[in-house]
Amino acid sequence: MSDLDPDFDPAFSTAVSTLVNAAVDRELAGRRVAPPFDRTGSSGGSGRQPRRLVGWTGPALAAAVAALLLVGSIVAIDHGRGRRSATVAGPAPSVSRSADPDLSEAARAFAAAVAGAREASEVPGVSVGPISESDAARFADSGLWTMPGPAPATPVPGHSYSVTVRYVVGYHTDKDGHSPTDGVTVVSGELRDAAAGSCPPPFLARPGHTYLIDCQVTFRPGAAGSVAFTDRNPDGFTGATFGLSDPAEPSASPSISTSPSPDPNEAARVYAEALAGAPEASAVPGVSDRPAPAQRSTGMGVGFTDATVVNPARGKSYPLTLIYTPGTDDPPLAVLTIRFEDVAAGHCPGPFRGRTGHTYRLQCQVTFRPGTEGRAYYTATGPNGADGVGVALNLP
Amino acid sequence: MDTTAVRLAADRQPDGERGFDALYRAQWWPMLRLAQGLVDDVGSAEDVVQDAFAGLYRHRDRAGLTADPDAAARYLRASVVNGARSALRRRRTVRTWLGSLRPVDQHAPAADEPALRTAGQELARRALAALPARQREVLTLRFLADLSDTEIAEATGMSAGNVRSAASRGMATLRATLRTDDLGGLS
Repeated sequence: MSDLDPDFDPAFSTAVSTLVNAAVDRELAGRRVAPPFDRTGSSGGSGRQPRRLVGWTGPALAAAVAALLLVGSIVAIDHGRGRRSATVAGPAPSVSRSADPDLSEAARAFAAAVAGAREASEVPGVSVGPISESDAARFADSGLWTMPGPAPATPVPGHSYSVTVRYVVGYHTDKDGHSPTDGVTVVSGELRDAAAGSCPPPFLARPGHTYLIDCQVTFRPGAAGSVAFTDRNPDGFTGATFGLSDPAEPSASPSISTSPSPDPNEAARVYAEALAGAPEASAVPGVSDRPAPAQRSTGMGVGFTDATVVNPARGKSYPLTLIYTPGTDDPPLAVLTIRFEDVAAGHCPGPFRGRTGHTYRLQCQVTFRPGTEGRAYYTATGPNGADGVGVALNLP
Repeated sequence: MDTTAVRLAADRQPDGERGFDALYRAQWWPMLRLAQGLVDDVGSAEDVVQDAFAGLYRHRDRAGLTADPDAAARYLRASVVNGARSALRRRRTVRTWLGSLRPVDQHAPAADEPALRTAGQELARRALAALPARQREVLTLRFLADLSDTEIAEATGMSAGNVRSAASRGMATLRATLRTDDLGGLS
């Protein structure tokens, strides 16, 4: 104990310790017995190991997918800057890399990315400036990708367009034990599904700055085109993808589907039929219904999973919790359904009635197809048609 | 069975399997408590502990880890601390851009629990959780694992001086946050 601390107050420390211990024991009630240890997921060498469900590991892919859904909208992400970057002198924490081979892999990729990146101010097509006070207050330990200008609605194939994406990087607030230069990451962007064009080469991003990234894109006939940004840190990466136009033909892998019926009466009829066949969420086994957090009550509905499967085993069925929060853009009362895509098999409860202001958690089962990420699509059918959003389910 | 017999029996096990099993049974609960204290989420805590034991299992033949319970415990503690840091970063990512959808009543008290005691526990947990990361880690390791400053330094990768400094600042913040009367009346 802290016998060298002159201000150490044993009585106070004991009181707090007792309360914390009691609280943790209460939170873990019923879990005292160790579950069987899963040797099949833990044997082998020191390389990347297959794991079962790993909670909260999906933000990178989920951010990319969700961003693709929000064309011209915003995606805020965290940068996971709790670790020294490769550009910082001094030893890395000794306990980290030996304990997690996955993180070592990410750290190696990060070091390679840093070696190939330049300072943002030296990169043509990138403008850098200090973060505004209001953004700094909003995005502590996080960031924000936006595409300020409108995407061309009907781009002319062969014509070159300029696209600007803004990236705000908030300050890293966990200063304790870290260097002031902590938090350097590497940002890179690439065009997808485009005839030609380019984005600036990789550059170093630092907390407390705003970056404007200019890309040039020439569209292919019938293709939407997209631009994907990756922000790599020592723990992995986060990403954001922006659709660049409304395609003349459906994209090969749409992450959002909007299908307003050309005939309002037909849409209303479909809605009425769906509603008649959909019970309340509370009556559907495997669905829980809770009030939605206030900050999620506006805008589009948001769907995601609270865990991502890493390296799923072939043929194994995994339990997954899928979460959907209708937004104010959704009808007040819609029929919610979940469907899987790019998986071997999958099942979720539903359909059921979903309301704005609520959050629904669905207990689902999914068997993955080797080498594919698998997706879940949430569809909200309302009186004016159906809207859907999709999320990636695993890291293949 | 005396100590010698135990050692002989363990020596017959390939790859220290039996030693690992014994460690797993003995250390699961303390590591789960530690992880829960660090991440405040049972599912994440179980994942962190599972990963820590998976790492130990992969390295069970190195440096006699499973034959030395103290070394294994040190390894596990460091792995849990490291895993908790990663879990918190991942969770923060999701929370930042999607908002928290965690059940608000996840740790709601049972109906038959004394309300005041539960309130005191919640106060202490929240005050601890609100501390900066390193202070929270240091005090969690002190409170839940009863570690010395040197052991905390080893588990967190910090120097002993930084551990003492973080502990002192953390306790000062807790003292300012929590009223002694409340703690005395509720502990």
